[in-house]
Amino acid sequence: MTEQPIIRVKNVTYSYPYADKPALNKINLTIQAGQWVAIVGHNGSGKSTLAKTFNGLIEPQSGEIYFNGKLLNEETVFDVRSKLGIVFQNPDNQFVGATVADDVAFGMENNGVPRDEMITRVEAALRQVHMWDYRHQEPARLSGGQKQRVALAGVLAQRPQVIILDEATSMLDPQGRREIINLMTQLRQDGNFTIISITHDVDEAALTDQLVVIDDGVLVNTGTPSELFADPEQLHRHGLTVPLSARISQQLRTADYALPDRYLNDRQLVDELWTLHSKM
Amino acid sequence: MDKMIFGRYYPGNSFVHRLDPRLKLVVNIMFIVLIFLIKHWYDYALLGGVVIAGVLLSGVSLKFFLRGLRPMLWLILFTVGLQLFFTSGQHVYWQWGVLSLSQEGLINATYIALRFLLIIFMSTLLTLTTQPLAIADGMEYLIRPLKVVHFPVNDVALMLSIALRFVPKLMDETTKIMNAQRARGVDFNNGSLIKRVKALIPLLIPLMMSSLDIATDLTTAMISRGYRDGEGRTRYRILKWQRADSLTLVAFVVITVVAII
Repeated sequence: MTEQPIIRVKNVTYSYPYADKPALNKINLTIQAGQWVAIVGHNGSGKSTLAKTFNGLIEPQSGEIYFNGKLLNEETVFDVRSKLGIVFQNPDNQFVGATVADDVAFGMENNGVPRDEMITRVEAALRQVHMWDYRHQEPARLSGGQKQRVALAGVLAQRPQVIILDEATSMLDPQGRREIINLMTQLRQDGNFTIISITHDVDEAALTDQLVVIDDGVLVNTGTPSELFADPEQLHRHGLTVPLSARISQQLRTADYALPDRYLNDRQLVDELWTLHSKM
Repeated sequence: MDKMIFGRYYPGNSFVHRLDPRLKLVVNIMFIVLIFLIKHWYDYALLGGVVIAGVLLSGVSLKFFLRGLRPMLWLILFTVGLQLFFTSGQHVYWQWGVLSLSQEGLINATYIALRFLLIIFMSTLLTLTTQPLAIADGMEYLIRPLKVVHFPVNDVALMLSIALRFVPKLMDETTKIMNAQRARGVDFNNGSLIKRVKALIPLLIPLMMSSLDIATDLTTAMISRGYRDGEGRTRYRILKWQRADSLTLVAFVVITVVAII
């Protein structure tokens, strides 16, 4: 894990046309390379808008964005897009190709990758997400989770530095969601990527290195999941929930059980309960 | 929708299936032109032979071709009937008012029927043995010369392939909206013509809005994956012209020449 910012957001403000208040209000944020960062916030808090500024899909009215130290502008934007891949929310509407292999190749076709190279990269990416057997299938015959895996393969085939998941699991069933999250965990272990997930799913957020909390276009807090989940009240104020283990420990604390005052994940909570039990 | 055979693809791996889609398109067009040029019965026999050979080589059962014929049956009968009774000629067998049955009429009617049959069989052969995507690729290749006159070939090709990719998706969407509106009490099947047309509004407007949503999402996804415009792109899918294709083309050209002479 190198300590070098891959994305630096400086004072970014953006309002949608006809909106009465800005979707992003003076956001400052630094994302270190190699980290898994979750951007959390309630609906309409500006999470997706923020992610879309990272690759120039949305151009902020003021403020600057740096990718790998380089300022994002009209000249560098295509370079950034080839190094930063986004998996969007709706599995159907982002499937460009007529078959799985075609869709994975789409980004590489845009960047003028030679065909021989494309063929090997398509295969490698599809094997990585376990979709190689489906390479000739049409999107209509795939499940939502499979389509998202193909979308992820399309991003991976471009050899990106940053992968953004813009609520990529929100339209999936629990199994499809688990599959995607497992893939992300695996990719994190391979270690070559910075991963940014935009999510409502607290269990996904709990897996990350850093949480960024956004409310009404304002960045309200950042920290590790254990730091932030230790204070459920604050997250509640911003319309967010905390993992089940944090809720249980809070209830137990109010019922006067002597649990430590920090965030406990499932494992740690069970251990603490065993310790308590043996003391009784 | 299940009854629509025209334009359907029948999966297989026969000789005809493996032929290049460009070849199949060109041969189809040539065939249709040829049908209108020939005049003698032996030419019809020759082209009939070509079609029969194609059907046999495709390995698709005749049933599918006959079903492709069904929606056109009334049109064929109508035209044949017109030819049969309204052609005036020298060898009249039977006459009643303006209606007459002559030898010329009989021959003309047979030719018309044969033309219909052969064209429908040939085009069904194309669609049954070629995937829609391959047809789109073939068409893109064939319109490529139009680049000279600044025709946006790349854009049209992309549009065609996206359109094909979203046909099943929009069909699903339509069924879903219909069922959703039915559950709210919309009746799509009964009432007068005006009532039925009005009942389509709660189907069409949501369908259009959802198409706009899809378009927005798809553009965002395409842009973020580095799409600029059609220029400077490489291609993942390519068509391969093989020996069988050259042979078939030569054979067909020979047949054309023979038929015209």
